Amino acid sequence: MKIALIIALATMKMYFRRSQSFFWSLFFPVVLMIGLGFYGFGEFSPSKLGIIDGAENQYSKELIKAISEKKYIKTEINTREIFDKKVLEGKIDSVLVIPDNYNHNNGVKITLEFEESKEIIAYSFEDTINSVIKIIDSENTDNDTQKLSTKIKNNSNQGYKGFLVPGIVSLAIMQSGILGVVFTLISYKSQGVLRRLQATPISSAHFLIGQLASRLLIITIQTVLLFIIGILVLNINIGQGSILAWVNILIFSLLGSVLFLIIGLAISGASPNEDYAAPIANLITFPMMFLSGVFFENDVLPYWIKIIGQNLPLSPLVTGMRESSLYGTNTLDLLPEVGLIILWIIVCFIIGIKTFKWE
Amino acid sequence: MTSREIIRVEKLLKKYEDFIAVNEIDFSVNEGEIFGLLGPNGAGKTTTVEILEGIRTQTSGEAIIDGINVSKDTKKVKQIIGVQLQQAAFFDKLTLVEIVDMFGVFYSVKIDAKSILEKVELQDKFGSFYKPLSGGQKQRLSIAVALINDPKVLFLDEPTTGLDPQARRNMWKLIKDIRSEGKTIILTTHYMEEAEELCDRVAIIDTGKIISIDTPNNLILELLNSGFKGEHKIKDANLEDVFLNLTGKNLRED
Repeated sequence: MKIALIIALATMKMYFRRSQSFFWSLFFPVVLMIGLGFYGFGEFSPSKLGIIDGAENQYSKELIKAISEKKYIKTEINTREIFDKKVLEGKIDSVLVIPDNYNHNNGVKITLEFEESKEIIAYSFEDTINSVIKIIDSENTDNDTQKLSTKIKNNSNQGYKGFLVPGIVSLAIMQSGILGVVFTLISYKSQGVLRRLQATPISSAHFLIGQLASRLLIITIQTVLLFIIGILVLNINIGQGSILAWVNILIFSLLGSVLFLIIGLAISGASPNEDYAAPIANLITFPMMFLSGVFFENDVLPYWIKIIGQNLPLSPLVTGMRESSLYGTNTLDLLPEVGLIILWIIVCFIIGIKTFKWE
Repeated sequence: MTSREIIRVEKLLKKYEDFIAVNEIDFSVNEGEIFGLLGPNGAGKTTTVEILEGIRTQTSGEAIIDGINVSKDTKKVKQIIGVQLQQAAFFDKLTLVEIVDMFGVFYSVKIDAKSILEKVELQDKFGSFYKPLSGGQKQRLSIAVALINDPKVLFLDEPTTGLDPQARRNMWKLIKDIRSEGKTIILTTHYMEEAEELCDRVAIIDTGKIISIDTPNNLILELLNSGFKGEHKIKDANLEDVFLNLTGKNLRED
């Protein structure tokens, strides 16, 4: 125990003495976060209107069909609960609520709900819907009462920024976990540091546990700092103000760190030198960067690639982080993600043990 | 000097797929001796030493150090030996004091890192990192670390390779000092004058086999008695003496 602890302390000391390593582990994620977050990279898609169809009668269907025919509006019919989430993520710009007793003439109003920050888009929706109603009505009666009301809500949506930051934090966990360990261990291996340790009475478990422990702490610090930068610079909001969200974030940060550290240990254990380790590390991290939903929802990917992407080690971490930070979802409600991470930990641990070589 | 046997090696064999690195060698080392393993590169010196150090396992045969079977009780053996490896390094961003303290924990011994470093003349480098040290300083640190657990047997694998003449003489003095404390030293080298200067007995190894074991003096006499005559008349000084006479014996930074 004391041995693992002194190795952990020494590793921490060396890490922070190599001041550039900590700087770079924060620099790239922050640049990505700020660059993409401010630019609003995700917001250049067609405006999205959510529709809650409470009536589900011929009148409501006629109305929805007419709105959906407009090419510049993407519509989605769903429940209040789902839309609350999507509004928060910035994936839906406004929600049109059709009450259950809606028909042409009874004067029941439909409501367009939107948040302050989406006002401009919402006004264009309003115009479109009004013109659609007018056309439908002129075919039926000549009731001229205003049927559409609007409701402005307080801002809760964080737009793309709120979606992006947890993705970048997860990506940073993967990078620090895999690359940090790979480059340190490979250099220890090729310089003969590991050989020297092997000549002492300590076991390899002491050394590996010490390494893991120190890196876990370093990555946890990194996760917290990145979220704090997200809050201060991009004005995102964590778990809708719930303190518990931070606990959930830390749980996922730890699980993700353990997973990627083990992958890093497995790569460095199996590779004789950096000529092997660097391409293997890149081969593993690169696809996950784009298929695990870090920068965009992987719904846009072709079906099979999406299925593969969803099961890569980074995906459950991204989902877990995003759920925790955006909605404050409790980790207990994210057991499939936790399970998938643990499954990957076990698989990679076994591969690592089977392939580890000291030199 | 009649003292007890501290290392015994019997029929030690190390085979790699289609290559025999060490071919059933036998030898023993007495307590307090400096025992040299000599041989050209690739002769099997380092493999033999690494089996004794518990870093490699033999294919067959036995190695016993101070009554402990190395392959069966590796951890116990590692606790009583000190090791300076040929190609090894220490953590680069730790100070020398931190490195020595850390290895003290590995051996569960209480030590005074500074006095250990003073012993190998690294008193000016307590707070330096490992990386910028010169070759000779790195070797001396390596020996300091090897002495942390007050070992019964010290393994030195080519301790002077790559050192300048000053650093080499200094290392010889250090090795003699360590021997005078009663420690047994196994030294591998391919410098013959080094073996002649330091070793009580040497084993000459080639292609994995021991071809001769004796004191350096006996080996030389044996050769001369067989009618051998050196090509040159031996002078009372050699070029290294000239070099040291001109540049002085003080240690240099690099």
